[in-house]
Amino acid sequence: MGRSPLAVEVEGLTRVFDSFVAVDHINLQVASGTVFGFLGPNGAGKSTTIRMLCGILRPTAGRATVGGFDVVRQTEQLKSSIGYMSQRFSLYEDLTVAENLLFFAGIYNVRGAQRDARVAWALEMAGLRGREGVRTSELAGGWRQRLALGCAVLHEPPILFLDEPTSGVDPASRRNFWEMIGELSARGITVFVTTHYMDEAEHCDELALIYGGKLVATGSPATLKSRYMTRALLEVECSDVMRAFAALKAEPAIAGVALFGTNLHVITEDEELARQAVTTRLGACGITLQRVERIEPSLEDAFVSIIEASGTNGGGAT
Amino acid sequence: MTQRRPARRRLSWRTIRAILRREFIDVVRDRRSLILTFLYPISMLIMYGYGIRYDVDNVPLTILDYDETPESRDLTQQMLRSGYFHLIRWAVNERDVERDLLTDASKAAVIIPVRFSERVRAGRPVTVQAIVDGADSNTATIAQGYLLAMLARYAAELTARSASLASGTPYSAPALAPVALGAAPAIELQSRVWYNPELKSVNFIVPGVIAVIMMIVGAILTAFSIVKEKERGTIEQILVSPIRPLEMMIGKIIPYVIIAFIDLAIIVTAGYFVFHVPIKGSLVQLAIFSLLYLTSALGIGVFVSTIADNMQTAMLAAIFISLLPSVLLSGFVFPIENMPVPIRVITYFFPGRYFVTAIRGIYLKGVGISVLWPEAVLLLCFSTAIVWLSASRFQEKLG
Repeated sequence: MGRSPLAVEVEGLTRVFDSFVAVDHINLQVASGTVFGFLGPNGAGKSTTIRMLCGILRPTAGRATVGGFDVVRQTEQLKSSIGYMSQRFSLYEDLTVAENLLFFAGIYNVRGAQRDARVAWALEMAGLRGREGVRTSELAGGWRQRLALGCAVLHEPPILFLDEPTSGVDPASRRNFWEMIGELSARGITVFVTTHYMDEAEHCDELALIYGGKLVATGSPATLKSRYMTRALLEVECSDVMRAFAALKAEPAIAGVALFGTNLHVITEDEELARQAVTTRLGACGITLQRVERIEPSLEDAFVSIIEASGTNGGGAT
Repeated sequence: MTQRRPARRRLSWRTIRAILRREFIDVVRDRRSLILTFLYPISMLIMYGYGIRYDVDNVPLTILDYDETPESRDLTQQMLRSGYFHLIRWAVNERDVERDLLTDASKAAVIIPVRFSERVRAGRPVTVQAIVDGADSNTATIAQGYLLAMLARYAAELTARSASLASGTPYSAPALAPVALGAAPAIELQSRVWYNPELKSVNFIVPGVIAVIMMIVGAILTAFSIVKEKERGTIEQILVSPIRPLEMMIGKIIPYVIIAFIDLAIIVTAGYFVFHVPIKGSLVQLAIFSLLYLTSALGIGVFVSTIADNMQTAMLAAIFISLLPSVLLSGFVFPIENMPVPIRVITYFFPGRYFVTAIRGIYLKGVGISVLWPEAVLLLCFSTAIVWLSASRFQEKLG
């Protein structure tokens, strides 16, 4: 098999459950060796898509290849060339760390010296060396996650699917986990990851946003932010945030106000008009204005506006 | 459609071994399942062996003797001495009798009419009333049998006695005509029970317990072990691996085959040493029939796992299609011959009846395949069908 430059290729992929369209004609291309982030709210169709790409759910329509293998006709070769780790912690909790690794070596047919080397490598990577005999149920969330990742890549798959790998894990472990993803990517492994943490999305080379079963945006984090954030974003720092929030909401020059920590985020079509409105309105209310500043929108801001736009355009499957 | 599944690789023993090793660890580590697998057959044996008994002795009996003569006392003493009855009380009137039967104080009653001795001595027929509590039909049938037998014996004795006493006087015909007994029997029935001469129900029950345990291990534990993986989500991780469904199925089944045979050994040994139930037939044939039956149980287990997504559903489904039929429709608890025709027809669709017939034959009669071949053939057909059905469903669901 010649290495195709595309690790994942999806055309018109659709899955219908009874009458509910979970995934609606999506097209995707994932370049080999990249970290591809698949984003969207819960129930948007992320897991359904991943399950189809892993060959465990048959598409209703459309076609997809993973590592050059068709997801319907070549499931066996496909499954040998992917690693998969799901949001549900799917290691055997009553097995020890070493037993879990050996189990996955067994079902992936990794044997002999290669098996010993891979198990040692996985223990090292997960930081579980010396804890081989510990029951998996006794490990903290972050360790389990790393062990699960170790099990998923034990057979050295060129493509790795991670379905919400960090849900329910503390922030330090999440950072650690993303470092591991970076290392795997540096070795040339394609990583297809779903998440709803926006800070994690920033780590990805490419992103795709799915909403209501439809793909609403694709591109790198930077492209998405600039392309989809046409309106200006102002950060307002003032004395009484709650009163200011109520006051600014009524301003016609301001499209939207959101609380962001101790500050306000103001979205507007016309930056100058909005700046004036903020100054005069807060002055009239007797609120001390400390700062108004245009800021770079975060991915979260970008996605909110993308989803709002797709909603007003009549998008969304259900 | 053959195009869709091209060139499948051969089953890999290494993969199967990974699955079955994990399954073993699971059984051994989980104390509850360990208890279920090894203590259960023993407790079943004790429960059925001591608890459920079809042998009836010590039937509580109420006697109402209106006659109160040496003759009537002679009859009642004979009954009480037989050991099959124990006296609850001497009733004064029929209300007492009714109360005893209603309150379950006694299961049977005998009412001896006034002028019993007078009629007996005069050689005139007399009726003794025997009442049995039909609410417990099993005990009732047996108690009735005992009562009739006792009365018949007494009648025969009277006949003999009067014949010897009244030499010279004209021979008088049977003096006593108890319930359902006509004249003194011209032909005496001497019954002999073969194969289980003491009619000990434990002899009957040990083979039945084997049928139930095989079903529990084969069907219920197998179904649970697969459904547990569905419930916990671990199956997802296996599905995305290149493992073939058949490999997973074989790996899941083998541990339970081994456990079932350990349980079989436990039951046979405990049956022999604790309950003194010998095996008349061949152990090898016992094992072969057990394997056939176990195969169908495993098939049912896998089938249940393909229709149930959680443990509750699996539990219910397994009980209804495996456990209840193996207890109720196999002839283990209720004799199939006594069932109404529609139910009897249903029993043919469950493997239990063939297995219980076969295993009782081997255990108690010492017969083998030469007699039991119809059961063997039917068991083989059943297990082939269910294994084929469940394996194809399993592949379809997980493939």
